[in-house]
Amino acid sequence: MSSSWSEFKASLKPTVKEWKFMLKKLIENPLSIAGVAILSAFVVIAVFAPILAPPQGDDPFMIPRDWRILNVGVLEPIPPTQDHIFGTIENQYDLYYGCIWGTITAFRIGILVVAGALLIGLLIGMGAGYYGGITSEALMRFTDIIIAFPGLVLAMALTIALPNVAQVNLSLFICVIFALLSLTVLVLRANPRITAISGALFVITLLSYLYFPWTVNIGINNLDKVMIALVIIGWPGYARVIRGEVLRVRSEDFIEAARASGCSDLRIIMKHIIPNSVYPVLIMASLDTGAIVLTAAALSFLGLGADQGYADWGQIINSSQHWIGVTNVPITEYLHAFLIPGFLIFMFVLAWNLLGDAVRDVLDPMMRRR
Amino acid sequence: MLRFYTYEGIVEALDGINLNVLENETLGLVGETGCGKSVTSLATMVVVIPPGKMEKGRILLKYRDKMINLLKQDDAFLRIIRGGYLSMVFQEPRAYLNPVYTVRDQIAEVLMVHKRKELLQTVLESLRTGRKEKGLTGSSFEMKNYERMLEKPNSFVTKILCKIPRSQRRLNEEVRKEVIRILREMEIPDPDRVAEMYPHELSGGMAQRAVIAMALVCSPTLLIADEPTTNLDVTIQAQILNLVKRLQERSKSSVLYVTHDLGVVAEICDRVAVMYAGNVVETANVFDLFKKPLHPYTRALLESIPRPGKEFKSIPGTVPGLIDPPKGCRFHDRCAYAMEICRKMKPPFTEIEKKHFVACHLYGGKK
Amino acid sequence: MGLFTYVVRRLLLMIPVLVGVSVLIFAISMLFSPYQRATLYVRNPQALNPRTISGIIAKYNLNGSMFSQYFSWIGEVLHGSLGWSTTVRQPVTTALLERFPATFEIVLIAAPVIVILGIWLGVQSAVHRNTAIDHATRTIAILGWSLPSFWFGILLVSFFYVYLGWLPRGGRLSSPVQSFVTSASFVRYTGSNIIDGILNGQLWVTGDAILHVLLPAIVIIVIDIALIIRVMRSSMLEVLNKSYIIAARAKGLTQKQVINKHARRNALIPTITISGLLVGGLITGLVITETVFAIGGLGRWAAQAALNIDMPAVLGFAMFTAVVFVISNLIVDVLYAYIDPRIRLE
Repeated sequence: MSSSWSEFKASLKPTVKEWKFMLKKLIENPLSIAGVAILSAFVVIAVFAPILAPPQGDDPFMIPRDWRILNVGVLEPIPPTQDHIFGTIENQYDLYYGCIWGTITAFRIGILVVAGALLIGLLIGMGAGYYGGITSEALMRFTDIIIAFPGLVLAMALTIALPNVAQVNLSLFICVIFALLSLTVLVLRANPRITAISGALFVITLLSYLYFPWTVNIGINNLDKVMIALVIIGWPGYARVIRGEVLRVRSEDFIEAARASGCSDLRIIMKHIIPNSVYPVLIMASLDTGAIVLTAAALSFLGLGADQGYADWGQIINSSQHWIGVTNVPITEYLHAFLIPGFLIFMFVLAWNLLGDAVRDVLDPMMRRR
Repeated sequence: MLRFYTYEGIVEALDGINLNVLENETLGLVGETGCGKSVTSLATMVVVIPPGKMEKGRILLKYRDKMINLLKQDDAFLRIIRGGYLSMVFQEPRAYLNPVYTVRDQIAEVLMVHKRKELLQTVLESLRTGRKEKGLTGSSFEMKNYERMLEKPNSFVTKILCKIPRSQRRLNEEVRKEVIRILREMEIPDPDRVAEMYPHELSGGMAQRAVIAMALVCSPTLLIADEPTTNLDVTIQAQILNLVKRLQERSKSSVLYVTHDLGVVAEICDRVAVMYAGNVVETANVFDLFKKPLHPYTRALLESIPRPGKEFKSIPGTVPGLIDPPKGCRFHDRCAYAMEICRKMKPPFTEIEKKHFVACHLYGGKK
Repeated sequence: MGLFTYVVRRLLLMIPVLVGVSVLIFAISMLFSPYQRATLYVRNPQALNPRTISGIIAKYNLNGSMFSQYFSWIGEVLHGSLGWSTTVRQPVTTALLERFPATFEIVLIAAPVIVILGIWLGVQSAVHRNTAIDHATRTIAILGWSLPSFWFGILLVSFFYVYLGWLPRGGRLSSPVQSFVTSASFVRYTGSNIIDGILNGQLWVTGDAILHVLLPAIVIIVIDIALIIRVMRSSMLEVLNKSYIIAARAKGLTQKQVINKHARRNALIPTITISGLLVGGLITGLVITETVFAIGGLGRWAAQAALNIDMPAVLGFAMFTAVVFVISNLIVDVLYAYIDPRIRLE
């Protein structure tokens, strides 16, 4: 086990070199500089949120309201004042607070959804690509069906369909995971030690399921539903790309050579296939994050996302949209309520898109060099 | 002098080319890969791709009994030359044919660019004499359209009218006949069917014939053939070579045949020019060149042709990089007869014997 | 193999995808309780009381196996009934048909602009690589792609309506035009104000309709054109390096002819493949813009339905858009085969 691990690390050396080269090219690219600059600004805001806008209450993501003004009966958004640096939005939620904590929400949505879709897509795509045959075809038809829907539409349908509470039997869940793991390891004809250990873990979890069932009720709020829906519509894209790459790498000569020299399947996958098929996925992930954030914001804007008062940029704009075009009021009165959060969404997505474009510009010629 | 301005430096691609293609002859241009043969052929048609720039020199073409310098002409005139007086055939025929158009479309294109007036006149004449062509009588609208195309080829209205298929029927038919004719001349079997094919449906030999057809359809004065048979099977190669030779003799035009294969040169060329590292080093009648090679490089080339029974001989060293080419004669560091002067001065291109030119200091003083 | 066989083959392949789509929609519907699912079988408002609902549940076996439920539901769909939309108090199919023209109007204006302008900009960007035109186009493209559509829409409203007063706030027609159009002197041929205005000879109706459609169309255009520009530019750059472009110049063609005739057609090939995605982008954009501009089309109905958890409406809309998407992908594939003869051999 130790020898194969150090071998694995050694095999990564050329990959590490390529990554260093890639990073260097990335740093030189003006697009990426702009993107990284904007993104770092957002990261700083997100990290220092508790200091920049101290939470007042149990849930830091609930925007504090100005009850003094509310109690007077004023519901409409108020332009920036001394108390409220960015002003307030409908029902007197402080806009500044909402924007600051909205940054964390935005990062959360983008990163979690992309990571989730990537992981699921990776597993399914690799399985389909490596093993081929009927399961692969069936899986690909399944992805075809999901891709047959325009993204937002399916997300809307899923968001309203998902239940509010889910009862999850955790011990069963863990047991199933270990069952799958042992099965995979068995099939991949890996090192017998690995197989033995994973089999043992499976038996342990099975026993715990039978004797100590552990169910939890998970509350799913609207924003979680949005994220789950986006993961569901997101993974087919990654699965397809990965499968394509795996198929391509699989037919390369060096895989034949590895198999001829006695490599186990697991070895082949980890050492050869993954490093060679990862680039298009990286490109896709970096370009996708922006789109995901936009779709999530759109869903919030339509009212399907977080509830009013939650620190989410899209939700803030949802509250502010009907205040535009109110007659007999100067335009500057309510402009801030949607201008500022919308601008933040725009900048956030722009940063990710710039970064994604730069990553693509750097990785594309590298991929072609192969 | 032709230079390429690249990131790594200025590539002195061509520096000292003296090529003379006479009427009714096939001139071979021989040289190793990288010596600048293809660049020369492209440069002759003034189709040099940036970052290449033509710095000094002249390209003289006999146009209507006058010699004109192509480098001093404007783009509009050059376009008349390209395809009409000078045309080119390339190495990989299927890469040089547009994959989304049929063979007929692409040959027709050349015809329409260069022979438009003649075609229009032929069609008008046949329309006026009332001849029926394949059942198409041709309306008066069509006739008026053709007349307009002759008189005012560039007007906006003409261009719009040309887009209407019905108004072009006779013309298209005439063009199609020309295309079939030239394909048949290329010894392509079943030209009607081949004309409607797409490039990816053709075999290598067939595609090359189609490209040659495209090049010759307007009866150019000079055909530049840039290694047209290198990628083909040997049997097809022989067929194409014979075809090119026959066509050249029949039409009494000229061919500049660029190749690295001395065997091909021996087969079909009347005269030969040898190139090395961007210079022409020797030019002679094909028999003289093979019997009495003067330049050391030519000699070495001929000696390096593998013969059964003889030991394999190659030229020591490699072709110099052209970013910083050696001063003086560019062959001097590989030359068995190199002298002190070879390192310093570039040998002039002089006529040593009758119609036998060499650029070498070995023969410098003799004239 | 000709074009015809290719089309037939693709049509046949479309059927399993459509079946799969219906299965997915059905699966999503199963996430709802039997009472909610009963509304999928309702055809008129009288049925919306507890007795009839339990009758429906029994009749269609909504507590039974998934298989039987699927086939009952598919039976309904194939009879043309997609359920009852509580949001607009109409059968779903009626709602779809009624609201389609309004959505179609926006597409009518936006889609040609995106395609034609996008291709042209992509070509110019590639031909004048690394010049001001190129940089400007690419900047606009990436900015447009990053814009939140709803924010951009509201921004346009506040500028063109609130500040300048040039364009209307939303809806499809201004009130005087609206009352004219609903009167007897105006004949409804298609349901689209733009087209009907022309057909009736009342061009002022068309003009007013276009004014209302302008801002939503602009939003969609600015956002979706980036896709076309990007793909067209990169494929054009690749094509310009190909050998047949040199050959075309050697034939004596002008630079313009070389680009327009030879390069562009080849560069269109990957662009056409991508334009299927464009339809998806249009549909997404329509949902948002119709909500922002209060246009009574399919998108707005879907957004309201989602908010009301009107399951038949949302699922009906989803199915409709999926079918549209699949058909447009088919058309795109056929176009692809028409332009690229190499693909017909497969």
